[in-house]
Amino acid sequence: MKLQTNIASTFLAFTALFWVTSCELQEANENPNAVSEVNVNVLLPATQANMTWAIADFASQSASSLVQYMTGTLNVQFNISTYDYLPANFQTTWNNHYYAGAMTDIKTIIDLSSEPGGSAHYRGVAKIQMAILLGYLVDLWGDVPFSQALDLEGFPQPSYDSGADLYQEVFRMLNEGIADLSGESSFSPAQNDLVFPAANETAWRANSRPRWIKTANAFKARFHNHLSKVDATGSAQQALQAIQAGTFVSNAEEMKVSFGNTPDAAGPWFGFLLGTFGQNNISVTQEFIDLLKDRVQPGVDDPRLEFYVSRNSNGVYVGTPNGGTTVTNRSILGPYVNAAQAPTNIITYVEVKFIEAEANLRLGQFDAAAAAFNAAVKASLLRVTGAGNATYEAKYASETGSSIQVAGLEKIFTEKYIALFLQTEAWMDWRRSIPAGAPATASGIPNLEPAPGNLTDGAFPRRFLYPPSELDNNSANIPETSRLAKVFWDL
Amino acid sequence: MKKGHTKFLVVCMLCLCSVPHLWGQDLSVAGKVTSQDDGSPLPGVSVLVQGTTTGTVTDLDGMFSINVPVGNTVLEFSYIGFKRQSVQLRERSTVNVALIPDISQLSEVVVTAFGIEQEKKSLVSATQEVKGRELFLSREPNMVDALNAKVAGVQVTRQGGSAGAASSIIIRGMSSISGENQPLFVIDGVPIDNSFRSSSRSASVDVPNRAIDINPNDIESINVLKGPAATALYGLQAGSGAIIITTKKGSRSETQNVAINFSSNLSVDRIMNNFPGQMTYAQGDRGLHTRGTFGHFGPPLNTLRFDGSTNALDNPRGNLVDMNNPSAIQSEVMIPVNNQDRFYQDGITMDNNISISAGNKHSSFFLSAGDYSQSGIIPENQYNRRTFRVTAETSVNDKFKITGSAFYAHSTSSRFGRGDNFADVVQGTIRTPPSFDNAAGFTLANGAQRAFRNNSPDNPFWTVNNNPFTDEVNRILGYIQANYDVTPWLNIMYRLGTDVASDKRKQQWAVGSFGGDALPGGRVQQDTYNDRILNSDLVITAKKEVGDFNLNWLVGNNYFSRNNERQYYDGRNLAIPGLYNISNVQSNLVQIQNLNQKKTAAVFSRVSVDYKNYLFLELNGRQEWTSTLLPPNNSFFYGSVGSGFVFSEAFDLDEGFFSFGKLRASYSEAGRDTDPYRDRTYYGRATVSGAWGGGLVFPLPSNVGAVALSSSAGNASLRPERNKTWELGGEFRFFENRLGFDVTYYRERNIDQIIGVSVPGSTGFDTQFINAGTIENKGWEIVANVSPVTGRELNWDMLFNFSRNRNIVLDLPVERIALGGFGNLRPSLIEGEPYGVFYGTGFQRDGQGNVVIGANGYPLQAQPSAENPSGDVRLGDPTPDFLLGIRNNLSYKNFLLTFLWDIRAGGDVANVTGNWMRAQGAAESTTDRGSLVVFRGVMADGTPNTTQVLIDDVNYYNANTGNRNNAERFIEDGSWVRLRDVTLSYSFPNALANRLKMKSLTLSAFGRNLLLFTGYSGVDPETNLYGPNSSLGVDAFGTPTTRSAGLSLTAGF
Repeated sequence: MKLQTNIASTFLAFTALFWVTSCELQEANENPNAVSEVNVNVLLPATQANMTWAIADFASQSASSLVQYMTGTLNVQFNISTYDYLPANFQTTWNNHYYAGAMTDIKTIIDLSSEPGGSAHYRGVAKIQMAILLGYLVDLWGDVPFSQALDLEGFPQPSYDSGADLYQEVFRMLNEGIADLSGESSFSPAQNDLVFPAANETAWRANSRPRWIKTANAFKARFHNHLSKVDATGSAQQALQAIQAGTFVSNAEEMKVSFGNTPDAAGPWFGFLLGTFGQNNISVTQEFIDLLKDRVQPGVDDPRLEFYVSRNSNGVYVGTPNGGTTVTNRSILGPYVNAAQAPTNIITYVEVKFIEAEANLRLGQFDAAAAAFNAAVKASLLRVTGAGNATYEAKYASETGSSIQVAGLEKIFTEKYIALFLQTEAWMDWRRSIPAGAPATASGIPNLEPAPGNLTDGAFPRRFLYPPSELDNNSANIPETSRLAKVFWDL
Repeated sequence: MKKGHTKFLVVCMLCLCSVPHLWGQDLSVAGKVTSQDDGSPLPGVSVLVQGTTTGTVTDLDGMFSINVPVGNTVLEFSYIGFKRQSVQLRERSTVNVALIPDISQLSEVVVTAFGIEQEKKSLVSATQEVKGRELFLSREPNMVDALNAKVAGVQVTRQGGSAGAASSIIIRGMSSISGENQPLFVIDGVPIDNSFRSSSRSASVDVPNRAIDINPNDIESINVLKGPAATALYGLQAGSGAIIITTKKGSRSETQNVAINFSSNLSVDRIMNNFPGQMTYAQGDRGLHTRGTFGHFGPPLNTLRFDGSTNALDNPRGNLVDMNNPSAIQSEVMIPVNNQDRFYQDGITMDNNISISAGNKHSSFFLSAGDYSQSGIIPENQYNRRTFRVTAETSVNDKFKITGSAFYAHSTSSRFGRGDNFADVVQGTIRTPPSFDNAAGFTLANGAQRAFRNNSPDNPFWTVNNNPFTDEVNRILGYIQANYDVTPWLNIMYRLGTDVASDKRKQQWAVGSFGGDALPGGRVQQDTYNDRILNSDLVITAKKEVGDFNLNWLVGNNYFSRNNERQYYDGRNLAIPGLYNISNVQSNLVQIQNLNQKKTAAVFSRVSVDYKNYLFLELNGRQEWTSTLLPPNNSFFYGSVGSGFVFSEAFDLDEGFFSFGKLRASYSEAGRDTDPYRDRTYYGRATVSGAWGGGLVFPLPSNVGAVALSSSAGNASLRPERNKTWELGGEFRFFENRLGFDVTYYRERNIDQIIGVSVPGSTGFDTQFINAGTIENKGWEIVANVSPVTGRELNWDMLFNFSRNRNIVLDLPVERIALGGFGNLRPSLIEGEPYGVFYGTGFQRDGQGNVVIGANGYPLQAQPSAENPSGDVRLGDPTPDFLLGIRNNLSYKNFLLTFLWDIRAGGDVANVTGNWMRAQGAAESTTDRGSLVVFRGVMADGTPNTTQVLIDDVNYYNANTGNRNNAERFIEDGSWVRLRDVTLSYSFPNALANRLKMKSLTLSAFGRNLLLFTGYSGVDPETNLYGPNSSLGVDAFGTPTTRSAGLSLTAGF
């Protein structure tokens, strides 16, 4: 009996060890893998990486197919070339790169650095980044959520703001960013600024800070110039004003991002091209190769061609006809983008010069237009090939005030098209170059033919589609579903 | 109770058989009764002299002796769970009998929650038991597969045909939106891990579900608890049902007894069907032979010749050129290559098991060892498993009993890619045109890979020789249990159980591989999981008889803790080619560490009362605390109520015709918690990935790291999910159980589900965890048994398992939740629709449902519009209409033939493989190229289409009017009838077995999946790309299923 009592009490004591209370259980709920509060300095790098992918990953791949630098040969990339793209194709970019990727953390940086003891310089950079991303969203999709966006608790279904209003928001944020950067700040970014890195905060204030301000002005010029169809004169004056306020004066100052020179630190295009989808699903168009081939004279190609496109194993350039399937032994992209160390161009000195040329042309200031145009073309040759090219410049960068009056827009848009190879911005320019009110099948500059078997009966798409995350969960606010609808500055 | 019932039966038989006759001198007959199954002695078998009331019962060693009056020549042996057997005496004084198990006869005691044994008669809700012997008939290494078509209300789906692949099991339909919908697995009272872990559900390799570690040969029985039976006491863990596994144990005996059983299986697996590929046309596009393309749209192979040139690196016969080309060598014709036949091989499976059991008056033990090794139909695909089990129990004194058990499993495997990736050997095989022979070498002279387009996909032989995914699992399950009888009516049970496992996985890609994002320099991934479950149960039971009432009361405490740890390394660009060590990578180094911990505690109670053992009432209650929800939601109570009424006993209907009748009804509510750490939104290491590959790996070369807010928003106010189920059932048996039905109707609602619901991307998040959504499952389960022939020598019985489940999403917080799809197929959850209904791109149709044909004569695809902004249309439903398993057992003398028909009616399957291969001209269906057709449909103005168009790659297969973008084109009916297993076995007569120093010896020949009848155009509609998770019915380059045949030997010593 005694033995049994002992056994019984040992038994109960043992089980009591495992009798736990709910308090103890809650201690098991501490997440050892992540934290719920961080500082602005560790948040900044990912926002810049996501911003780069937002601009130069799928958005750029798609825009490049729509302006026929590239053509899709399989899968979604093929669908874009035949104007058969669907909402689901844009989910990753919209969610992972724009809103949840970059913008939500940018908003946190702005909020944290607006608190007492915060950093005005972080806030300035964050505001400029937010303005850039918002501008791209409007340019690519049209009306998008912003005033109610990035606030899940407050607005689980954000409303859509008009593109025109959002452009005002973009200009406001760019101005605020410039103001923040122009003042003092208790601390500043340094190496963690992936766009304009600096060894330490002092160096960042001395060298990187002015480049952010110049970048903001360059974007002000670009976004004002986007309004060319809405307000031809005003947009030109504003664009020139932004340029005069101080922006890039050489290729060295422009905004291009490089994360490192190894494959795992390369830009979006290189990583895409390295993978199986990049290898199989997309190809340089024969049309683009034809534009650059023999451009100077028969037998003399545009000097940028061999940097843009690689020769195939037989030493020739072989493109794929737009909308066609893969061609045997085709050319792949050249070292200009297809190299681990190739920087990702966001906004360049070349582009600023083209904007200056176009704005001056619109205002009838032809000498200034010609000078800017010549500078733009020369700067493009220099930045792509590393050198000037006298024969090319003699033919394409020797405009005068009187010569540029003849087919000036054609010249500007064509040269800019070549210079902005694989940049998302090329599609904005191409849509702007379509005359206002022209039929949906009318092309811009350069003149593009829709792919055979295109889904729109030859009409050109003018915007991306909202992704399923919006269509499925925010359908009441969706303002537009057509690919052919135009963003507010496109008429 | 078992004993009482046996006596009851004996008395019945005595009544039936008593006939007056003359008495004479008796003959003394003795012998031993064993089970034909495993040769073990059967105690308590009733032995009756036919035509008399003279009888006896076997002792604990199965021995009997009886005096048989002269003139009587037949002895009858009967025992619950076995077929009655009659033996002619023929003047013998020794008669040894091996009884044949009767699987149609339902055993009387089943094991339910917490290892509690319950009399089947007293159950108030549906459970279904499967005996170890039934599992053995499948010869499946994965116990989940072994349940296929054997339980009503259960759907088992295998992910693919690789050796060691996972299978999923769904009980009564999909009920949870975000969960795995997998039941709780409990072995000897201890919950175990059955996780399915894959780095990519749509690509990667066929990984296992962890229940595969369990050796089916160790299983005595499986009891499947459905609905209230599962949730009543297990609660939240068993929201999708529970699989209660009881392992084999030794049996006690008055004398020392030792039994040794040995079984050996050898079988050969062969591919079920090849994918129907075309064998006529060469690689190329638009009728021209070219090498860069995926297309099989080249010229007919019989118009091509080799040119004998030496510049074709990958073929000594030269390049393929047109027969009219001057360089063509007319004798060098191209014989079409069937690359599937070249690649798939016969798989070999060997399964050896030995067990020893022994017992005396106070203790018993059981020891087993199993060795399973399987080579798959894919070369180098291997799965090997060694298991050891020991279980022992002893009584310290007449009140105190201790049981302990330990199980160790060690498995290794090598596997290969399937699904959506270019490292996939299935895709690599099917995509290869008949103008290229993958088997003619996978490496070129310069060391580069030899493949049909010098680019993705990888040559499958390259993959199997260079790029294995290997894993090694070490797992220990064990428990210690103590039972203490305080008084004859009060018992205390305590059990501490654990499940500890490590799973080390490694995937390598050699330099020169195209797939796996391994370009250009190779890649290696190492992934290690360490898991631990600790489970403690204290259960106090009390019994009391008050007049005609029997009271049973149970109260208990449960504590459960689960720890999971994952260490993952990934890197690319090997410094030294061929050295697959993570320290040998030069770029893209990713390291992940994930630690998860979950703890729950509960107190529970059950009160059951019966009146005269025919009217039963049962009440359950459980109070639960969990670590994964925040106060006050972390504490919740639920329970169930149920009643059973054996009307045949109440009204004394037990006669020859109507043997047994019972009605039952129950209602239960249960709560379910969630995974850890969903109450907050966290910042973690940032990753930046391109939409179509590429991305940035932090830290950067500049050593800058990055942090970002998770795109999955936490929620501090999550409440437990609730499951509400009611169930009505009845059990009716006739003609002394020769005909029986067990019918159940249920309706289950899962409400307030914890869902990671998609939110508008513009909120800054992808998903947020919320409580919302209701899914209803209702349906019928019918288990029927019939014994058309019960003769002296010939016996035939059949067991039917019928399931019909209707599933509907009753309430959803958003317009839809998209599950894993493929291309433009988006299985979704939509209010008013069944779970996982197929949505996606479809044909544009007019108001009458006619396909609209475009001006060019080809069908149009539905486009996004203001009314339908996503452009998606409803395409099908992957849920089957019903499932039916029909087991037949035919025995004649020592022969037993058993076979299982598995019938599935309805349930759509998305034949993604077929569709993609059609778009590429690789499918047999594309041999209609070049023909002129008029598509059925109407023009935009409503008039019938009359435009004749040419079927070719540019305008039809590849183009947007008809190609793979249109998901409607690849939805097919997935109905099937298949012969799931068939076994013919012969048991050697005891005399012969004894001469071989054996107690029993059985030889069997068996087959699996020998016949498949289906209208499905792919390899087999039984496949599931996504494994055990949300979306069903997607067939996209899954590993082909297999059919197999083999021999088996079992011997008892």
